Amino acid sequence: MPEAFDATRERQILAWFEASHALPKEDRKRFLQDLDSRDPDGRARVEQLLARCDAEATLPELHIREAVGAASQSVSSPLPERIGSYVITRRVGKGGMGEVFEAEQEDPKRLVALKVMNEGLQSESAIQRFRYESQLLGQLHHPGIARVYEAGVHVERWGLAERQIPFFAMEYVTGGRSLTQYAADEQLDARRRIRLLIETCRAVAAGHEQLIIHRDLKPGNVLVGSDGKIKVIDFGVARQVGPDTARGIETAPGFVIGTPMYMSPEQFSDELGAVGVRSDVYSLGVLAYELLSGQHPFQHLKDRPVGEWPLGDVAHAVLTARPAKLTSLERGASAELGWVLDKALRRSPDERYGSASDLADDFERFLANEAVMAGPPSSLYRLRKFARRNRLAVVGGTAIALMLAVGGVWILSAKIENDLLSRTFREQQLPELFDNVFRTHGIETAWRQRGSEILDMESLLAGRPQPSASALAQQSLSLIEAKLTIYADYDIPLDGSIESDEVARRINAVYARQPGSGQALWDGLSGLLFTLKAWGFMGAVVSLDSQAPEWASSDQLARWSKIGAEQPGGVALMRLVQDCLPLVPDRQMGKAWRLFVQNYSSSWDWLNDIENEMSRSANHLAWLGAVRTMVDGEESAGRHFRSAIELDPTLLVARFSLAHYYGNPEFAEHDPAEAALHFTACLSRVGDWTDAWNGLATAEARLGRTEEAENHARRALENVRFRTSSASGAWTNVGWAHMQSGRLGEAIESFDMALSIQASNSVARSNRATVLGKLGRHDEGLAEFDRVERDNPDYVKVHNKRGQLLLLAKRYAPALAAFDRAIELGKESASIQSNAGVCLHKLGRPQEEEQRYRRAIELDPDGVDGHRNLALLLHSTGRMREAIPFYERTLELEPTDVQRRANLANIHLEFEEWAQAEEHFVFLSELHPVDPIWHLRTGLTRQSAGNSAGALPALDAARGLAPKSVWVRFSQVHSLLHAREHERALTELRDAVEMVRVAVAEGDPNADKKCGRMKTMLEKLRATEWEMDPPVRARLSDLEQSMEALLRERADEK
Amino acid sequence: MTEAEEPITLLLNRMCAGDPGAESDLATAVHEALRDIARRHMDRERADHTLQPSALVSEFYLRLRAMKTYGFENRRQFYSLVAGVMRRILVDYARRRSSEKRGGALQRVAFDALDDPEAKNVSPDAVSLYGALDELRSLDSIKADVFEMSFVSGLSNAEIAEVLEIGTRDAERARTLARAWMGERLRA
Repeated sequence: MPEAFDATRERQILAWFEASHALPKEDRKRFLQDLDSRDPDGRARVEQLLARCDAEATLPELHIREAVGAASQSVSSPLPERIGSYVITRRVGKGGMGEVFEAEQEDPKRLVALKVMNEGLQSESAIQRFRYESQLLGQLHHPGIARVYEAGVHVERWGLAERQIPFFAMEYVTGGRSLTQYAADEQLDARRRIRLLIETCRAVAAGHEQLIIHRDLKPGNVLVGSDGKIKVIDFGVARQVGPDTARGIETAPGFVIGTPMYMSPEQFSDELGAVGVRSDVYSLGVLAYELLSGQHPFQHLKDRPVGEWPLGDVAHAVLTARPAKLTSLERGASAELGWVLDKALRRSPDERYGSASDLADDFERFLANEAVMAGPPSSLYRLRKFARRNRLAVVGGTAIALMLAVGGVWILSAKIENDLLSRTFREQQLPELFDNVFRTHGIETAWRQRGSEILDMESLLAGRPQPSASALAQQSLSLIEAKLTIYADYDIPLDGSIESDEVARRINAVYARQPGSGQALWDGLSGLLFTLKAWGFMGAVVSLDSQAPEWASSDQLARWSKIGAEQPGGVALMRLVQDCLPLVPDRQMGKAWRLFVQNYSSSWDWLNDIENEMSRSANHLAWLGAVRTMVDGEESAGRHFRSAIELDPTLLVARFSLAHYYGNPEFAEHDPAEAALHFTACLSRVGDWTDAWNGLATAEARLGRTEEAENHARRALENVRFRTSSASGAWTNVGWAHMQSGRLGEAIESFDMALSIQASNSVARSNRATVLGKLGRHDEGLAEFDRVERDNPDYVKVHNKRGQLLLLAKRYAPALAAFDRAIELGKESASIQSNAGVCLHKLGRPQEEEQRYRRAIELDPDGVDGHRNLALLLHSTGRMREAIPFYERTLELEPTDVQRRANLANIHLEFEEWAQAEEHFVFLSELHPVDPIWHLRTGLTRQSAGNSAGALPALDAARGLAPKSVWVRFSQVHSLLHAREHERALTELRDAVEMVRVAVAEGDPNADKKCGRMKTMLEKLRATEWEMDPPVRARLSDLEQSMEALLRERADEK
Repeated sequence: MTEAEEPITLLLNRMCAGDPGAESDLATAVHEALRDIARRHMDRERADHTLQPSALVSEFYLRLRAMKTYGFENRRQFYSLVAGVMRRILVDYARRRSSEKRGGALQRVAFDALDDPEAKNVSPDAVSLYGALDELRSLDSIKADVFEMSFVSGLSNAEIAEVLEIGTRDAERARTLARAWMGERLRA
């Protein structure tokens, strides 16, 4: 802090400084010399000040970090007595987000942990969101999670504003110690530590099942109670503070949510995707690492404990460094455990365990000596990389030997026990075998051989404790992927001849054990083949695998259709798809059909030929409708669907398609209410129909039912098992609902989910862009729009949306161009024209602006924007007469538009049309009866019209509402004078003098003005003295004297 | 969409009419608006987390363009109100940061034109900055006002001159002197 402040001295220095600064350079020197002789210190000070002016030097940087040190002593908050219905007993701790108190609840009588946030809720939407999410938290019941009994809002006065401080009353964990503390105190061995970790993972997973992400997992939030059981505390609490962004970091100026040491990479950086389930998996990974090794994964980077690192260093490590290998640490950590932790701690969320349960499962496998799902880091990747690098030079013997060594590591990931596969076999026989095979048969055979080796090993494993079906599926997929990639890399043709039978057999085997995993495997394979463009191979697998159609989802069929349509040899595949279609589960059929048709044919001539033939069966009619929807005749499509339902009311495909048809805004028969009806009918029959829930949500969104739309989109998500376009669509709907209710951070997250599933989802992407715009992140939003336009040139809505964002970003010229582009592409609407007009307004082109508004009005005579904007334009360019009808129309459409009504009234005042102006002011004073301004203006208008008798009641009302306003009082006196009510005028003026006195005393910057006005009023009154009775005149004199006294005082003071 | 609906303009209107309640309501509304803008700034400037009060306030004024149409005269009163609110935000912000124990290196408030290499090492906080400003005010209130308007509200010399009803050159000079004085004071 600066040294003590001597005002007299400082004033002197400042005066010298000012004086010398005003002097020319030469004189300044002399001045300083002179000063030096009298006051050398003063001279030095002044010289420094002058140097600072000359150097244009300015203020030093202001670091809030430094402010911490300076201000911390001055802040010590006393213990509050009670918060809500809780009596505070003591402070338990203080964290970044808030303080924790031990408190007693009266009814029911119990001890609670009360967490009171530092930061208030800043907006109505934040409060709403808090309430909504608190409900979710309240519903979270799990023995491993501390209950949230109540989440409330505590109101705190804060200067002029109120703060709504959220608090949580949570289960008090008796004797709770942090996980790490407990493990250290009790000297737990590794196995017991792992068991605690498993318990923790299970609890966290239970939270995830309720769609709640913890976001701040750390040892201090995992307590072990006196019963030795873990309790996860603060579940979802991290999300409850800050405005609408829910990312881990920076939710409000100065707030970091989550504890940096345990935060996942995506909580530090946008680029890694949204914060989600896998962020908690990461934090659990750090927790586990620490618990098992006694160190933080990044401790090896520096000597200082990680907890003391600056945030930036932690972020840097998390985003760029690799955790230290666990094998190098103590406690007999094994390689497998290292793999498990490595998988939990992957930087990319996609590479981590998909859920906390998966992590728990792998810990359990480890304890049971089973194969863990996690493999050694990226062996497959290395394998592939290696093969790629050596594509041309692979004939060399060294290269092959190396590849096998890498392959050997890969085999270990299947965790074949030593006793099963002898060391000799692994180290000598296997490479020898491969080497031989390669020499004699070439690489293709070598791989085939290798594949069957693994199959054999698996059959050996069959008698052992079985690896789970999903683990098997994962392994199988890895195997197939490795093989196919190698094939592709070596340009070995992937036609049906190679191994398709084996692949089909494996899928069947997995499916037999667990259908869900079979489906996942199939899904993965299908995606893989798609990536590798192995069409022929896929056809062969599908035809061999008798069950393929059963688990081929509509998305896969659609994907195949696309391949079939694009590839020269795809006809066979199309046939296959066509054959599969009838086998697709009923509910997926409509969609599969539509997608199939969409991709299938470029000529529709054949359709006319068969249309008549097909009109007898409901099923065919539904199909026809689907085709027609795609082709041309939307009208006939609707007809086909309706006929199909008539023929067979139970045909859900038809009803579903009809619902979709009504739900499509492109169609003339678009009717969201009708669509909702039919979707509901579908759902009453099949309750877990994802696409129907989703369609219902979309229809409700169009009907403006935000809440229902969100709930039903969530229902859709409940039923989504795979990452399909339906899931993407459902997340889009959820995001839309968030966007509508102003929960922008969540909206982004939901759109991120939608896009992570389907990157080409233009609706999600453009909505995301819009939200980014609303958050002020304009450039990111625009980049998203660019991507939408690139990915999907048919999505013309993007131009309008882009325009809106640009408008928001105040980039008017490009915004105008975007709107014009939308208009050019046939999307002209009143709102686009009106917005284009706004751009022109900002660009200073009023004539064109006017045209746009007039066009907007033409397009939508009942749209308020066009009228209002045109009125404002005319008004601001001085064409007031012309503005009047447009203001009037605006007010007809929106009678409560206060500003526009005031504007219109002002125009009438301008033209001295008192009656009209009065009418509007009266309207406004009735609309806002407690706002004195409208009573005042009503009164003043009547006064101007010479209607003093009418003016008085209005001014009296204004006075009543603003009793301390001198100006209102003056207006009232003015009126009273007109009405010759001198006595009352005097009474009011006496009050006014008092008010002026107070204003003067308080240093009101308006005091002079008020005094002046007061004098004028008194003079006016004096001018009418001949009308007054003597006592009244005496009172006037008194008043004048006290006013003069006041003025004298003021003059003296100055 | 030409104009944002601003209750602040209505409050201004009321304040012009002398409604005493309007001023405190206005302060609340201004506070709300500034915080809102600040939040969006923080969002946008994620990379360096720099909060520039003048940028913040100038954006706020942009929103208040309707002010003119309402013939808002008492600008000085209004600017001092905004400056007061800003002060509360900054000081409060500094204090709140101080109650956090975790390093807190993330956010900083940077003031315009930081060219002085010598001064870089010194980092006054909002609390001491306003402390120094109060001291300057006790010596010369005009200079303090000029400083606050240029520094917090980002007004130009001409605007300051208009608001304070002084000559432009006087405003310019007062600003140079005030900045030099504040710089020295904070370095001390």
